[in-house]
Amino acid sequence: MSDMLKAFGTTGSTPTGPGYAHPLTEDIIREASSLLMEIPEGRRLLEYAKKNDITFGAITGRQPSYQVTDSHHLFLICPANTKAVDLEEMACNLGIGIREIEQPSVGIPRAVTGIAGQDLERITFNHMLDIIIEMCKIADEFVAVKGSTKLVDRIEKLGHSELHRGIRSGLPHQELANILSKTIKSV
Amino acid sequence: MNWHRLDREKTVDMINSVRSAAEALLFSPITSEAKCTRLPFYSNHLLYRLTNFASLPTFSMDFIGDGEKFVYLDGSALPILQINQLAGLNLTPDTVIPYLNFFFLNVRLEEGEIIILKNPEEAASIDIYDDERREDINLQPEHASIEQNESGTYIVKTPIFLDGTLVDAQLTVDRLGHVIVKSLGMMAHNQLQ
Repeated sequence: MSDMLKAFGTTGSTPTGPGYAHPLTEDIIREASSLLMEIPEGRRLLEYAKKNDITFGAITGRQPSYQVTDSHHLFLICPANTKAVDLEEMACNLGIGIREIEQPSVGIPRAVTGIAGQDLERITFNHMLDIIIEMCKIADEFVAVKGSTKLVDRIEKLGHSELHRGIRSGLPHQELANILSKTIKSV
Repeated sequence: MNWHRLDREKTVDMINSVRSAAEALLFSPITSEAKCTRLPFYSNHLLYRLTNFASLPTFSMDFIGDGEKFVYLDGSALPILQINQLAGLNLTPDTVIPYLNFFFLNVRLEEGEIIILKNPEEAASIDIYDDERREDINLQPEHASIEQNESGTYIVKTPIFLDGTLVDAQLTVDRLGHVIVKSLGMMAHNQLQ
């Protein structure tokens, strides 16, 4: 469990102030960005965010996660007690959050309300597949650059180890989609 | 959990009550839905969930409230302890397990994810990302012992899933709802067979 005990900036639980902003917002963003800068895909994503005026915020929440509100705003969600947070997971969330904003520019539309049923299902599926592929790319680069397998372990826990193997072995996109489809149906 | 969906007017009232200027983008009355459910250990406060469907996956925030004032569950124990003090915590042998389930669902501990197991065998198959399982706060462990000492503190002994490990645990809950987790030791694999 010791690898889960790293903290951003000052350590330990900090009372939440008024609003939802995490009291350690600046530390969280600085340290997640700094970690992301250590890998090639991370540098590419941060450059994209800079060029496209994407601003980052952080709010408190139970599970480390992220939320894209529009094409210029990305919120990281981080537990109040940062000792319970894994830094690489937060860096990965920052990376895939930027990727989500980037998706429309590479032909993957955002899944938003108002899209008709089957189209929404297809769009959501393509969005999800692309985000998992991005997560695997970031995880593999952390293994290559830092020798850290924490994100790979997380991908396995999420049930995407077969998809990850497929990505590593260079399977075509359609075959990766088939694997994800099978994984979803088996849940 | 049995959720009750709030009507549009109450949803908008709730959003107006909880939205903050700094993070206004997270709250949209047009694309959000609010629902609430009863918690057996509170008599006049409910659990509220506000979900923004503007994009998929959806984004939810949970609050405890009395219909007018809402406290955001931010992943720390502070909001729950605050409500316990303000609204009163009704702990009984029947509500202590739901309270612990709720506490572990909403508080991110340094020790990692904690789930009270239905039985030790469940450790082999449990999925910590299964929200439906985790949100079943009324699920009672089959072999838990529940005792109360003279000061009103409950002591629960039960198998738990602690950051991926099956552990026999002693969970202590005082009258104000403070929770202490003590490992009584890892449970051997042969106890799963």
